[in-house]
Amino acid sequence: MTPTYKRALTLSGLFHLVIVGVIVADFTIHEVFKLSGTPTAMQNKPVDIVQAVAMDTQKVAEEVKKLEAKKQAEKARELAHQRELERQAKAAEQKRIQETKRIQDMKLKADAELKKLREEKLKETKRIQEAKLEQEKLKKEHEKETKRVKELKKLHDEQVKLAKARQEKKLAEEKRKAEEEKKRQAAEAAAKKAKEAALAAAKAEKLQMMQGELNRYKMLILQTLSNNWITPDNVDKQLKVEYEIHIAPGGAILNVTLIKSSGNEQLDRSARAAIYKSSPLPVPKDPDLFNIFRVVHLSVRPEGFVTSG
Amino acid sequence: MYRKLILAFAFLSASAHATLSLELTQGINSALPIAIVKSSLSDVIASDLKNSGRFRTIDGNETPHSVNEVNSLYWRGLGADNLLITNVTSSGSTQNVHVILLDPVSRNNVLLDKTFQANNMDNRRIAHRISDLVYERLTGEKGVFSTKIAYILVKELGGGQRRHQLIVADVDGYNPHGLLTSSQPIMSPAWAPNGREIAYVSFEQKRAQIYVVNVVNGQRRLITSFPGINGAPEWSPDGGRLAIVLSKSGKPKIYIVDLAARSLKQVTFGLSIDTEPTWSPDGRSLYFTSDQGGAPQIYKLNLANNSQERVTFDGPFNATASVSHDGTQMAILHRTGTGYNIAIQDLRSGSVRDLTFAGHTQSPTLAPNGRMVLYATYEGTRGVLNLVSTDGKVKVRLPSQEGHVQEPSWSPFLS
Repeated sequence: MTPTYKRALTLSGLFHLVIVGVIVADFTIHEVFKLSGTPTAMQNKPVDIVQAVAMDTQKVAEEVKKLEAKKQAEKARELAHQRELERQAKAAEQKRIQETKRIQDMKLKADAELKKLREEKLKETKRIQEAKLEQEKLKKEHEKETKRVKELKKLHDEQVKLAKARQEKKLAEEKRKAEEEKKRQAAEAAAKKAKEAALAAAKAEKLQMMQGELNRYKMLILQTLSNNWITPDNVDKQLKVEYEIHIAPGGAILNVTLIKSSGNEQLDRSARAAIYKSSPLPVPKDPDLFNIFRVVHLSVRPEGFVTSG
Repeated sequence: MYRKLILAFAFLSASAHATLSLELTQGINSALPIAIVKSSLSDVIASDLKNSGRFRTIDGNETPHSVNEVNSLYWRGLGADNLLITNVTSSGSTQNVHVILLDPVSRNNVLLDKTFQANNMDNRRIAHRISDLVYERLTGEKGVFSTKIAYILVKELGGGQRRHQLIVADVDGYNPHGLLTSSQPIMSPAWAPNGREIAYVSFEQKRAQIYVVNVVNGQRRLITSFPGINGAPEWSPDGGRLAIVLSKSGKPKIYIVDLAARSLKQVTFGLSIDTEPTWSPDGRSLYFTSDQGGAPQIYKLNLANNSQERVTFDGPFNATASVSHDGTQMAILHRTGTGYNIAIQDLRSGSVRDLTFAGHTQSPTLAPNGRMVLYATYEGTRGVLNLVSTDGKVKVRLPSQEGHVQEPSWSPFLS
């Protein structure tokens, strides 16, 4: 138990003893007086009942102090009283009887009071016990409380820990998610890039195919022109004539314009005849591909011709 | 989607208009297809052009007389690159000849629109003239259809008798005129560059003699009459000299006769047989046949410094050179596995191309434009003349009279 309680208890017990002692002493004195035939005025004196029910330590102390003071006053009064009595002994014999009665009454009362006191003392003791119990209880409760607080704290700590853990988990989770997101985005970007690359490759392949198609049609056109070109064998093989040919969809030749003469009329004419005789030229059906062939700049040179003789 | 591809193809074009550039470097070596509108002259013109080897004639039913009447689609449909219209109208003795040559393929482009008057010209001659015009217009070269040929016709008269004639005819063999007749051999006719005289070898005096005869009036003069061989006369391009073969100094050698100065100069020497001289177009060299290398080959003699160089190397036998007027081609008699054949040697590159393959040929003579060769061959036992184009595509036999035809000579371009 805490020192406060101990002290209180000690003081309480002590004062209770004092009270009891006082009470006892009081009776003793009374008795003494009685015996000595001292004025029963004392018996008529009200007995101070010490009311010492207070649990509060301070109150007890106060009461004790009060009792002390009272006791002192009592004592003084006693003396004065004795004197008085002495003076009055004679005068108050009569009163003695009354007084005696009163005292008896008072005794009874006192007895009652004493009983009461005892009861109260009992009560007090009980109360003290109870207080003790209570204290014990409190102590226990305090302990309990402390334990509870501890546990709460522990719980709280755990919760904090948990919360922290959760937070960390959350953070970790978020981090993970963020990283996953990053990865995902990277993957997406890579996929996109791959897709674009594939698209570009497809385009390039298409381009190549288109290039292949383009080349094929170029070859076809040159073949047709070649088959229709009666090459003059007596012209300088280095001469070149250039024509611009406008072609309609389907290959029909719209017009043929001389861009640059070779200087040899026969060569120019032979090339021109070849062009006209080749209409319609083999051109692609696809409109976009055909567009490439709309205007053809044709150079004609008798280079490949094997001259006779 | 293709838009982007078109942009990608932009590198092909040189201009912002996305022009596609193509280069044609090879065509076909084919005869030019020409349609000749039927007329009194069309058959002769068609033969002429066909015989040259450069043309292929196309027959059509339409008969336009002017450019406006020409349905170019029709003629194009027949495959004709060119269309020839000839209109002959006579007013009295003169004939007006209108010649239109056009190109139905290239939008009826008129290539020739000529009118001329033909005085006292027979149809064949007019036709030949038109053939020349057309040939020239379309090939850029001079036509030879108005040139002449000379040849020897030998007719067996029976009883060992023969008649020898020097004949002058059109290039297609028509209109033969006898210039000379002899019971004795006539050989080696050679046209003078002016086209008015022919040198020849005659044995009328029972020995070889070289004469020159005027084609127009038949007058002739004696040039050489040396002992031994007097043969193979050939005129210099300026017509002032004759290269001949004389054997008076032993072996047959080449001599040059200056006709004006009446002088003679030996130009080849030695122990080989040198014969068949022919002049280079610049008159500074002589090509001739010589066996100095062992077997007959063609050699070239530089008349300035007398140096000689061998010209033919292909085959064991090359003789009878005939050089074109531009000096680039030489027709020769050339022995191959099948016998004696006519070949053309390109004097620039040295390449030799056979024109005949059956053998039994001789005496090649080259057309003045170098595009045809006239030569003697046999049909059975009969001597005939054949015409072959130097690209080897066309060979035609000239019609001739009864007898053996031999030793042709092609005239120069006749004005």
